[in-house]
Amino acid sequence: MKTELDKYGSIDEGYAVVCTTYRLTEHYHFWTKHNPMNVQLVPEPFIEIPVELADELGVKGGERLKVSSARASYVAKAMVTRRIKPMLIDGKKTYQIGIPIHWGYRGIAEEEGRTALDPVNLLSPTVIDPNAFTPEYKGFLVKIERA
Amino acid sequence: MTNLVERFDEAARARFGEHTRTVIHEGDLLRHPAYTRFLHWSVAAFFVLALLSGFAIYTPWLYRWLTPLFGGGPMTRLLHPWFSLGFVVLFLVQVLNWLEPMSWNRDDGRWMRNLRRYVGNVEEFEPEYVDFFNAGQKVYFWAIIVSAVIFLISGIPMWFPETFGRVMVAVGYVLHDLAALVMLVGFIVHVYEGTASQPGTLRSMTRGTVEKQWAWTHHPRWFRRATGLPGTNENRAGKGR
Amino acid sequence: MPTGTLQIKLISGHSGSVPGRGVQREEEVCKYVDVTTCIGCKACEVACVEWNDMPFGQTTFDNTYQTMPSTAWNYWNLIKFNEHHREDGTLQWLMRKDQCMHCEDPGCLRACPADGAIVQYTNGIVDFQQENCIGCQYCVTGCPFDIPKFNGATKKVYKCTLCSDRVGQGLEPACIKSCPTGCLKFGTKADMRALAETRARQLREHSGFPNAGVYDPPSVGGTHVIYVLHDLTKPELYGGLPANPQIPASFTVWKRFAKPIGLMLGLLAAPVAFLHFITQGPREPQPQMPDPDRKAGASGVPR
Repeated sequence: MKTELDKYGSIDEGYAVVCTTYRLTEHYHFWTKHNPMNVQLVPEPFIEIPVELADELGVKGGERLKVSSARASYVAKAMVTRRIKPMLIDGKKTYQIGIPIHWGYRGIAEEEGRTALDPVNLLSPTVIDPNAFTPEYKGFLVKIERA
Repeated sequence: MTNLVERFDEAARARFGEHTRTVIHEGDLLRHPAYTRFLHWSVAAFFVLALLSGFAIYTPWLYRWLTPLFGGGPMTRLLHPWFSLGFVVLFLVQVLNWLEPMSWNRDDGRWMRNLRRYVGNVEEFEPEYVDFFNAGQKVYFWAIIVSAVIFLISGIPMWFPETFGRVMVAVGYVLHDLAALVMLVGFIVHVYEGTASQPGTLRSMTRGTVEKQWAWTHHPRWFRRATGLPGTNENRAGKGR
Repeated sequence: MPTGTLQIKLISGHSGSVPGRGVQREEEVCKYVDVTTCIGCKACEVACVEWNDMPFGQTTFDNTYQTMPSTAWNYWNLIKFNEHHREDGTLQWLMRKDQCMHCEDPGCLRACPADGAIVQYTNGIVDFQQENCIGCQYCVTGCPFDIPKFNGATKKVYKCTLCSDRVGQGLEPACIKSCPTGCLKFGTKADMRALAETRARQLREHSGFPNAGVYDPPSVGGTHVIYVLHDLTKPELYGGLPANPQIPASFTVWKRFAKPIGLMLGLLAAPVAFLHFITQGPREPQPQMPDPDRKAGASGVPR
């Protein structure tokens, strides 16, 4: 059954950046954002972007970014890193960004505005493996702008 | 500027004079009015407290002896900068009080060059050019001013290390020690000179007066001016307090 | 702080002998940290906070995975992250577990003026005894690794204890116990050094790190926390590890020699003054007025 979120972005529509989601060691799923120990280790949600992409956007670490897919958008602070290198695909420079999943809805830091109000999985498409039904969180197209 | 200092000084001395008493017996001279005496002893009290609390932290040899005076180690460390601040503030007022009679002139250079005669008690009388304060007293006065500045500049970073950082603490540590040792020696000499070494001196700072004989022995020029006697060809004008 | 079977061999700000010095056969302990296999999971950070029941603090996002910029009074163990570009263009994400190095010649202990505030046990652990701490923070200046941290509310300083309470009961430190990769080990100094040398040789000969080595600085007498680094020639890459850690001269030469000598010379003024009094005598006020035109020095009055 299809819903309005069953849309897929394309490069022509401006969704030219590859996004992936992953987990941190300091948090686990969506409940550790309520635990002071974990929140002390990693207090706020962030979006990891390559240095080259940050320079192109004119963005420094800590500045807020808005990442949008065809389905939803996500706002968090930028973590500028050299660990994610740009890729050369079909002769074109393609960037990849990464977003840890552990925030969304409430959390003990919400009052200070140090949380994401929506979960990052709103960004990812509702695509699943036909046999195992494992969802596809690891590769989808987004666009980035300053928030 | 000097006008402002003088007016503050005069006003303070007058105010003190109204509420205090200095008895001047027949044949005695007024040397230190109540205002001066108050300043001297309050500065001395804060100085001694700062000295003892500082030397408690200065070396482990003295730590166990001196920290009980102040209620233990943490209390000693807490109180020491406050004692020192009290000393600095009151001493500043005392400097304003004594700036004029402590000013250095050529006769003081002469006195210093003849220091050996003074220490060896060669003469009965001080040279006739010795005024209200002799050069030795002036040297002590100016040494305290220099030391107080060094104490402040080195002490404030040691009081607030998080603000000033490790380099300032490490350097201040040494400068503070040097000033403290100079002040320790000066203090011992000062107490000796003011009591046993020159009989009749202590009462000048407790009762405010001195005998004529003391005055013409130790500060001849001041004696002549204070009693209105004619001076020598080398007599110089100048106020004494 | 429960010490179990720990004996003290060095006490800060102490004059006189130390009762525990040389009275016990004891092996020196050592924490082994293999920086090359650390994955930055922070289990050691959590273990330290949990074992010592430390209150949680507020941290802020600072464009790094590092929990906070530096250790704190309530955070004694911190993984320092550094993204480093090597000359051959490859990227290394360096992660070093930062905490007290438990130096054999501790700068904090040398600097401390308070009797018994900092002690060193015979097994090499350097421990703070906050009951005796006066809050002067000389130890912060004396430490070449910038480890001790001051708490403004209690006016005391705090740092890693190498779990002296656990070690005293024969257990390994909490961080060692929690490490999932085995990059943290605990044992005698001799054993840990041997392990470290073996690992460093392996890195040099088989893993393409010709400058790999063991960080155990002799300038502080060696430390009871040793690191295996990919590149021993550039320790500053690993979150600012000093290449040649030095205790400031103020707390070595000055404190050990200049202070006591200066004090003795200064106090000499008192016996000298007394000697002057009994040999030269006081200067009595003279009964007769002096001749005002006399030359300076010629009084004519017999002594």
